[in-house]
Order: sequence, then C-alpha cells, then structure tokens
Amino acid sequence: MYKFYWPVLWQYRAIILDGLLVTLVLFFSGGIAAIVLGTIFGAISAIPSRLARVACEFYVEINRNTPLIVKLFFLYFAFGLEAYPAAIFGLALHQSAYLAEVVRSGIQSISKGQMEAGLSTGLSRAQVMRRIIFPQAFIIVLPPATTQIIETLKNTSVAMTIAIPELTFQTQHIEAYSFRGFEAATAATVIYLLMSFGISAAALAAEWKLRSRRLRAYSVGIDRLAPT
Amino acid sequence: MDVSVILDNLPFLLEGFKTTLELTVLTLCGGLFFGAPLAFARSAQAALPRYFSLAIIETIRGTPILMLIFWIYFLLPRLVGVAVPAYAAGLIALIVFNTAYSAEIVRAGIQSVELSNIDAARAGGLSWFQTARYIIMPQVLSNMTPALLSQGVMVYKTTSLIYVIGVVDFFRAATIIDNREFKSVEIFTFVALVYFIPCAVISRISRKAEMKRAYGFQVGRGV
Repeated sequence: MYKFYWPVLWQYRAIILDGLLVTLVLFFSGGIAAIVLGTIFGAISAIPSRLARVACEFYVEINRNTPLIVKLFFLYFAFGLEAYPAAIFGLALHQSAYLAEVVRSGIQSISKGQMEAGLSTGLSRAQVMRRIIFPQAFIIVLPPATTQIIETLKNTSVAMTIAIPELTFQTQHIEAYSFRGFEAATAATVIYLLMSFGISAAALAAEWKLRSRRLRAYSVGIDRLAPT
Repeated sequence: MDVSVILDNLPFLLEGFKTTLELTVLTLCGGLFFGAPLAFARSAQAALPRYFSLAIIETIRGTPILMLIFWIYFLLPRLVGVAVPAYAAGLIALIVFNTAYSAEIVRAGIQSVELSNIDAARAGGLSWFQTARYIIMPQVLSNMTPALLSQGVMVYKTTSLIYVIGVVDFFRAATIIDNREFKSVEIFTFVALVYFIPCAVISRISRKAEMKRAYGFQVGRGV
C-alpha cells in the first residue's frame, strides 16, 4: 500500500512558493489586461453600429472558440514571443473575450429609456454612459465577471505547457525530484481553491457593499423628495 | 505558407482527431451520467445531500482542470496498485471536471419547470408516466439544449489539455509533427481552425436555440 509522505511539502516549500509567486504574477498581469480589453470590446459592441458590433463579435468568436493552449503555442512557437509575454497575452486574449460578452450583456440589460432620459436632460452621450449606465451595469456585471476572474486564475496553470515555472509546473518538478507528485498536486489544489474562494468572497462583499450603498442613496433621495 | 506539411501528415492528425472526438463524447456522456444524480442531490430538500453536493461541485469548479488531470493521474495508480494508462486517467479527470458543470446545467433544467405543470397535467387526467414523458421531459430537454451545446464546445476545447500527460489527441499529434518538421505557423494555424470551426458553428446553434426559447416565452407559446 502506498504511504503518503506529507513532510515532502515542507522540504520543497521554496519551490512551491516560487511557483505561487509566478502564478500570481500571471494572474494579475493577465487578469488586468483581460479586464481592460474585455471592458473596451464589451463597451464598443454595445454601441448601436453595425461595424463596431461585427468587429467585436469577430474578436470574441475567434478567442472564445479556440483552446487557450492552442493560443499559447501559437504565440510562443509560431509567433515567436518570449514565454512570459506569450502567456500573459494569451491569457488576456482568451479571458477578455468572455469578459467582453459579460460587459456587453450587462450594458444592454440597462433599459434604453435611461439613455434617452439622460440625453433629454442635457447630458452628453459619454456623460450618460459614465454617470448613469456604467454604475448600474457594474453591479449586474460583477458576479459573472467574478466567475471569469476565477477562470483566469485557474487558466494560469496552462502556462506550464510553455515551460513557465508556475504552481502547477512546480508540482511536476517535485514529482520529478521525489516521486511525490500526489502530495504536491494536493497542496497546489488546496492553494488554488483557497485563492478562488477568496476571490468569490471578496466579490460577494463588494457586491453587498455596493448594493447597500445604492439602497441608502435611494432612501436618502426619497426622504428629500417626501413632503415633510 | 506550406500546406503540404499538413497534407503529408493527415493520417496521423486524423488518428489524433479521432481520439479527441472520442474523449469529447465519452466526457459529455459521463458528465451527464454522474451529473444528473448530483443535480438531484443539489436540489434536494434535506440539508445533508444539498450541502454535500454543493461542496463537491464548488471544489471541482475551483480547481484548474490541469491540476485535476495530474491529481488523478498520480492518485489512481496508488489506489489501484498497478500502472494506469494515461488515457484512462485523463478521461476520468475530464469526466470528474464535466460532472460538476453538467450538474449545474441539469439542475437549472429541472428548476425551470414550474411545479404547477405537474398538477395541471395530473388534473387533466395524465398518468405520472405521461406527465413525465409529455409535459416535464420536453421542457427540461429544451431548456437544457443551449447550455448542453455550449458545454459540448467547452469539453471539446478542454480535451486539448490532456496533452500534458502524453495522450496523443489531436493537439499532441500536431505538436509531435511540429517538433519534427518545424512548421509552427502552418501547423498551429491549422490546429486553431480545427478547433475554431466546429466550436463557432455549435456556439451559433446554441445561441439560436436560446433565442428561440426566449421568443417562445415572450409570445406565450410555451417552450
């Protein structure tokens, strides 16, 4: 019977921490790039213009319908990028396509009447977007966007296929040195789980805070309106 | 561009593609097979099955699929005591991963049917079997179709990750040829197309089905 040997994790703690650090670097750089790209493409595709919509759809479809590993190999081997840029760029392309869809449907879920009402009170189109549409769309977009952020974290593991020494890669390293791949994989899984639960909890807290703040703002407004 | 590298190696690529398709179909079937009971447990009245299935689903969904593949690849031989082929370990990992997602799809499908439908059908004189067969199942299936199609797309793309434990699927076959021929641009463009075309077509069908369903609700023609 196989005997588990957990102290191996303590022996190789430096390797695991190194991997975690690389994972976090990929997550933050890829994630931020994906949020920026996704918001831009999502906002553009909500514009009522055929050209804008088709261009964004093209971007989204191409990136959503190819596996991340294929994009990474393409950027690394065929396009000739260095490993880190290839991984970050690939992650950003992949996840921004999903985020763009989330942002687009969030914006479109705000009723058209609000834009018309805003315009008729003399605000510019950009002002209505910035002051009225985006704040409301943000709360709607938050939960599905959180799912995508967690996907980004999980997908950083695919970067190991182009030899980036992130967390998953380092568990293979430990397997190669000590044949304790199972223990290493378990530890890494726990680390990933803790991080994704942490992100969900933070997003829930943010959503709750935003909603209660808006609720307060509404009730203050109603107080002012009500005849006293 | 030199397409001959793909034409010359077509039989080998096709062999890999067959493995990819096989993995996709088996993963989808396995996911539904194990996902359905999990979905029932998830929507149960009792707290124990509900929280237990929730814990399973959330744990699987919070773990990267690569980690799952490695984890099962390392765990299985230790449990069974003999070497397990990478293909089997990979397939099990894919099914485990897909089970969590399928369970959520099935649950949404079940919950989308209003309970009053059952009462109405029973009051109308249908037997339990007839109610299930003619009233419940058609609604559940049509409600699940769009989500199942997108899940199929996702599984098809995800099978490419089985590359890491050395199963020669379509993606691995392509990288083997690339290592020999050094024609990365041609090969990976072709690979991207082979993944893109079926996925794009099925995504489109899925979206059409979703829109049709929404339209059905809107004009009150049932589902």
